[in-house]
Amino acid sequence: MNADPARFLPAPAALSRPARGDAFSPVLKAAARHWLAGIAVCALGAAIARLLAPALTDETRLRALITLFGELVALAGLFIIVLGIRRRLDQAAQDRSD
Amino acid sequence: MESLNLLDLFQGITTLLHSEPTILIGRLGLIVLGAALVYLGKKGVLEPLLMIPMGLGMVAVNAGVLFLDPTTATHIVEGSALHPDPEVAAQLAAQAAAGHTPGTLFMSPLVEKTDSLIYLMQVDFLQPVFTFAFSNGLIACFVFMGIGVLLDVGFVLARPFLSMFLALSAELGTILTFPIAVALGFDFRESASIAMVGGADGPMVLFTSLTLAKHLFVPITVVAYLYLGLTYGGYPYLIRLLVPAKLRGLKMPAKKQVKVTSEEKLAFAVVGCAVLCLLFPSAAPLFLSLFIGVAVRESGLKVFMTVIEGPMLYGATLFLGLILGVLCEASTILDPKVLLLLVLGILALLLSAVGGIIGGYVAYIVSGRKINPVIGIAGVSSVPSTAKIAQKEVSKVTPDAVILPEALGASICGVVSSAILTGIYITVIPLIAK
Repeated sequence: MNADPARFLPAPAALSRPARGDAFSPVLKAAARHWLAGIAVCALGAAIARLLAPALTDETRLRALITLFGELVALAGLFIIVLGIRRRLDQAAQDRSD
Repeated sequence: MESLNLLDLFQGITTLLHSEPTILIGRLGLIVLGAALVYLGKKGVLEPLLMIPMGLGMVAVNAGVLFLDPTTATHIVEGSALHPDPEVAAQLAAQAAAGHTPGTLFMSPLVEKTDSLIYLMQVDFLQPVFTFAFSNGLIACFVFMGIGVLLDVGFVLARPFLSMFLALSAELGTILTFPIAVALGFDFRESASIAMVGGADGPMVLFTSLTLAKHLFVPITVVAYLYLGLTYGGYPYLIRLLVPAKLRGLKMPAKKQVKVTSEEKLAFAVVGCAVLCLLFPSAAPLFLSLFIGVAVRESGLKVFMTVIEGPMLYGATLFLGLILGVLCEASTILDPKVLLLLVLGILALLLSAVGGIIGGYVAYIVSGRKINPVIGIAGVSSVPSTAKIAQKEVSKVTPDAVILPEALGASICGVVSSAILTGIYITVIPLIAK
């Protein structure tokens, strides 16, 4: 049986990883902000569509409108996350060209 | 010894001669159409993976009609929804008891009662697949898992604005066909189901029509898959008609390649799946199936990927084609609404393609004439066909122009936007239709 002890050691990339305190560069911090904001907006939209709309009114058309509004808000949340990823990519591309 | 009637030996011909003229013409027409689909599939004009089993199924089911034995016929008549006219219902029951009901040994799609279904599963060879995998949308979900494994959401995440804008533009048919169908006399549920053809995503059409308009799911799904096959042949001509050669050959500026990490894609799949399931629980099986495919791919679970993109996707496609073909039995599919469905289906796909190209033109103008307008058609979500068609048309004019990454982004986003529209229709239509 081939028991190579080196496979239990951390990979070289992991060894060169920055210390925990400075692991998040400004770019990653900005991306994390987008993720958090996006998830919050998604949750807000879902709450409007699934909780607020049924509780607010019995009038079906108004309820459908509020539901639709909530759905759009939640989708905007997903868009904020995607925007964060896009910014990180742009920044990484710029860093590479510098 | 009694003389033998030759026609009793060849019941397929006897049932053909005994059927009403409309059904007779329908059966013969569908046999010819089935053979044509097999031929066109073999030639590559239509998607062979779907068209060959579908065409052969269509031929076999319309040729293989026999007089069912009284027990089976009674189960079919009593297990299906009762005919609204009591006289006709009594006549059908008497015909069944006498053993004069025509039918096939493939499956009985209209039977709903459990006892009859259990009996028929022991008689009709495709009944178990239809009951346990087709009518509950499982096959559609298997196909969607396969699509999920094939999708690289990185293309969307790298170009979110462009991808989403083009995907939304290419939903023009899905949105506009709804009011047109309502104006033509279809109810809201039927209109939403036929409008989904504009999304150019077969599993989505199947899922929507099974949920909203079960009585019309056979013709709507058949129309959708037939037309999806035709997009391969038709869209290149539409591109050439709407985009002049000078613009078709436009080279897009090369972007610096920075990869979206698999962790980001996986996290996005988890958040996206959770949000969409929260918003549209009725379409949650579809979202789960799509994102489980994406998650498996991004987690690098090669064993699962092999199963999903191989046996599961192709097995589901084979049975999907076969069952769609077998559902095309003349007496089931001949509905006065089918002609209108044929018109509305092609209109939906045409409007979506035109919407996508208009979106492409808007992107071309807004970007300062840098984006090739042809990529707009890739927003129509038939992954990866429409993206390949767009690249092929561009390469014909400028061989070294590459638009595939942008086109794939739009195409993948088109799948997600179609799924979202499915969710909106399934959720909102029952509210409005109350």
